[in-house]
Amino acid sequence: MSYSIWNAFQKEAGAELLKLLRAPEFFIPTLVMPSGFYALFAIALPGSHQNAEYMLATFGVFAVMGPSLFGFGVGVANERARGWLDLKRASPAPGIVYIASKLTATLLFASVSLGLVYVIAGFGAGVVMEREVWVSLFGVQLLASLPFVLLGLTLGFSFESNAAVAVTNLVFMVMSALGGLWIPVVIFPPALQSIAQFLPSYHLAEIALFVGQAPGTHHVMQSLVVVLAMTGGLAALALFSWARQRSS
Amino acid sequence: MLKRVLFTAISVVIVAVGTVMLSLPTPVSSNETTFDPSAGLMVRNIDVFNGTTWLDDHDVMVREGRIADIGIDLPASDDMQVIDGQGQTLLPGLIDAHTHVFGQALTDSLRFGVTTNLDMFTAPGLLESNAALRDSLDQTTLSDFYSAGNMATIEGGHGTQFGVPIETLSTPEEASGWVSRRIEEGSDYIKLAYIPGQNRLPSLDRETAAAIIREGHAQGVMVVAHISTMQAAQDMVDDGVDGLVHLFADVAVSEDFISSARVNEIFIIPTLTVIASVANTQSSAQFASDPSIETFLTPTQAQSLNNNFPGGIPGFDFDLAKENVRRLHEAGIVILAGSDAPNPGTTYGASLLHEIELLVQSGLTITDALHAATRASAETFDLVGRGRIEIGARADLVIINGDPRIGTAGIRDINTVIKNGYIVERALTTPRTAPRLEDAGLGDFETGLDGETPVSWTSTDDSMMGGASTAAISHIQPGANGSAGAASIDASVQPGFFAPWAGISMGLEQTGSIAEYDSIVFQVRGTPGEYSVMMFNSTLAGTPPNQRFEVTNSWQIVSMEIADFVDFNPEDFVGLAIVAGPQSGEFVYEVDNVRLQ
Repeated sequence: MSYSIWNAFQKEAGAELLKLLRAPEFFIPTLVMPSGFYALFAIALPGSHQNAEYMLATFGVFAVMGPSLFGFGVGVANERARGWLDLKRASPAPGIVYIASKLTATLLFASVSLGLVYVIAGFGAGVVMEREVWVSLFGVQLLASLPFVLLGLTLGFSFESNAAVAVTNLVFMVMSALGGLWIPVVIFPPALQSIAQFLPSYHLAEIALFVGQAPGTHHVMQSLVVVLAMTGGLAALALFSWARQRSS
Repeated sequence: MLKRVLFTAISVVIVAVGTVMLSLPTPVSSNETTFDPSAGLMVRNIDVFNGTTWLDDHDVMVREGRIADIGIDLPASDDMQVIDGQGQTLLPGLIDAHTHVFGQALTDSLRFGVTTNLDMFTAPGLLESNAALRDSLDQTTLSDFYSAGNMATIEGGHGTQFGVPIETLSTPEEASGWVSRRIEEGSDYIKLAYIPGQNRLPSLDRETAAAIIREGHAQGVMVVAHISTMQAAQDMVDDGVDGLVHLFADVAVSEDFISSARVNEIFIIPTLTVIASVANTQSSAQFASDPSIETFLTPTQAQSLNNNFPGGIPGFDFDLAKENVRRLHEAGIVILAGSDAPNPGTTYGASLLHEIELLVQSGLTITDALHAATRASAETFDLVGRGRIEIGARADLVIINGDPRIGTAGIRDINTVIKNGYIVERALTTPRTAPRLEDAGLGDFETGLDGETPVSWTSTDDSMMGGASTAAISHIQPGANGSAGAASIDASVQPGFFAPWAGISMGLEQTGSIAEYDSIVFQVRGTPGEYSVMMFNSTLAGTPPNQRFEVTNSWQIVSMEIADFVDFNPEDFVGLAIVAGPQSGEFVYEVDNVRLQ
C-alpha cells in the first residue's frame, strides 16, 4: 500500500467513525440491543441460567451481525443516494479505501457490542470458561462479521436507501431468528429448521458453539466449509453488485 | 484530526476489550480437579504420627486409595501431586468412637478429619448398604461408619426418646432373638443401655443386660454398654461387657473397679465432651469460637456446640471425670476418643478434636490422646487398615498445621483432609438447614427397579422435546460394591434437541418437599463421559435444573448439594433423572443406592 493510500485510509476511516459516532440511531441499537437481548434471555427469563453459556455463543454472532449488516447495507445505500459514492469515484483514492475504512469502523463497533455481551455473560449470567475459550470465542465471533459485511455491501449496492433499510431489517430478523441466534433452531418445526441450513448465521453460531464448548453435537467442519463457501459466494455477489451499480 | 480519531478509537477498543478478556471469570482449579488419582499423591518432609509413634520428617506416598510407601526422599513421578509438609503433621484419619449417625453426620465429620465414625445407635435402615460403602476406596464426601444399629433398651428407656423406631426388650429370654435380628440388620456390634438406680428413665434389668452380653458373644459380636454410674459400670464389667461407651462421673474410680477393668480387659470411651456439656462447663462453646473450628461449622453444628444439656442431671462432675480418665489410663485401661455427637454441646467431627484436647487435659500425653483417636479404636473394633499410617493402610489422612507436641495449639488447625486418597473439599458452600433424623432412600434396586413407594423408576429421553435419543433400563445383579442389585441403563444420546439426554428417572405420585435434605447421593459407574442429574418441579420452565458429573468404569459415589440446582424449588419435588448427555454417544451405565441426605 503506497503512502497516499494509507494516508487516505486513515483519514477516511477516521471520518467514517466520526460519522457513526454522530449517528445515535445507528450506534445505540447496535451496541445496546445484543447485550440487552442477551441479558433478557440468559438472566431474566426463568430457567435461563442453565443456558447462559450456550446463548453467549449465539448472541455473540448476533452482536456482530448488527453493525455489519446495517453499517454496510443501510450505510452504503444512503451514501449512494446522496451521491457520495459518485464523488468518491471521482476522487483519486481507490474504492478499496472506502471499503477498508467502513470495515475498520464496523469491526470496532462489533468489538464493543461483543464486549458488552461478554461483560454481561461473565459478570451477570455466571458464565465461567477457560481464558483461551473466552478469547478464541471472541475471535471467532469477530471474524463472523465478514460474511455479513459482504451481505450488507450487496444490499447497499442493490437497493435504494429507503428500500435498503427495510430489506436489511428483514434480512437481519431472518438471520437472527431462523439462524437460531435467539432460540435454538431445534425448537422450531422441521420445515423452519431446514431453512437454517442455508443461513450463514446458523453455521457461524454452530462454529461459535463448538469453540465455546457448548453442550450438544456441532458439526464444525461441515459448518466451516459451508461458511467459507457462503463467504466466497457473498464476495462474488458484492463485487458483482458493485460493478453493476457503477455501470448504471 | 481524523487520523487521531481513528487511532484513539482503535486504542480505546483494544484496551477495553483486552481488559474485559483478562477479567472474565475462569474456572477455579481446585485440588480435586487437578489431582490425578491414578498418579497418586506424595506428602513430603512431614512429621508423621503413625497411630502409635512419630516418624519425623518423612515422605508418605499414596496410590489408589492406600498408603503405598513411607520413607525419606521417596522418588515421586512427575504427574504425582506433591504436598510440601514442612512444618506440618500427618495423622491417620481420626476415628470417633462414639457418635450417632444422623443427618449430615458423615459429611460434617469428614470436614474435621474424622474419616471413620463408630455409631452407637442409629436407625437400622442406614445399615443396609453401609458395609459395601465403607469398604469402597472411591472418591467420596462422606466419612465411613460402623454401627450398633438399634440399641438394647427397655420400653420407654434410654434411646426411645429420640423418635427413631426401636425394638425394645425386657427379659433375658428375648435376648437371643433380639441379638440375631440386629446382626441380620447389619449391626457391627451391640450396644445396651444399663442405667439402674435412677428415676428419670426405666432401664434394662441386670439379668437382661447380662443375657444380651452372653448372646452377643455367643453370636460373635462385641457388646458395649451405656452406663452413668460406677456401680452400673462395675455390674457390666462383672457380667463380661467388652467396653463402656461413657465414663461415669459420679464418684472417684475405686481400686476395685480399676483392677476388675484390667482383669477383664475392657476399654472405655469416656466421652468427656458430652460429660462437660451435661456438667454445664461451656467448654464446647469456647471451643467452637476458635476461628480454625468455626470456619468449618455449619450453622447447625455451631448451634449444637453452643447448646448444653438441659440442666439438673445429677452425678456428672467434670473434674471427677477427668481424674477418673487419668487414673484409668495410668492403670493401663484402653481409652478411646469419642464425642457422643450430636448430643447438645457436641457435634460431628469438631467434637472429636475437642475430646482429644480434653483427654490431654485429663493427663494423657498428646501422643496417647492421638492414639486413642486412631489406632486404639481401630484395634479395639478390628477396623482393618484404619487408624494407622502404614504401607497398605487406607489413605485416610489428616494434615495439621504445626506440631501438636509443641505448645498448646493442639490439632485444631487442620490443613487438609484426605479420604480414600482424595483431598476433601472442606469449605462450606451453602448454609444448611435444621438437622433431621432419617435418610430418604429413593432407590436401592436390591430386588428390582421398583423403589420404595411412592417412587417409580422409568427410562427417560429427550424424545418428549423432539430429540432423537433413546434409553432402555433393566435390573442387574449384583449392584455397587456387592449389594444385591442395581439399575442398568443403555442410553443412546443423539443430536436433535439442543441439550440431548437419555437415562433413568424417578417420579413421585405427587409433589413432595425435600427442603429438609441437603444433598442427593448415589453410586454410579459405566461408560466414561459426561452425565447430568436433572431435578423436576411440578411446574416446568426451560431446561430442568441440572448439575453435571463424570462417570468412570469403577463405582464412585456422587453427592450433589440440592441448593446447587439453580432455580430448583425443593418444596415442590416431583422427581429427578440421572442421565447421559449432552455429548452424544452410546452410554452403558449402572446406578445404585439413590438417596436424599
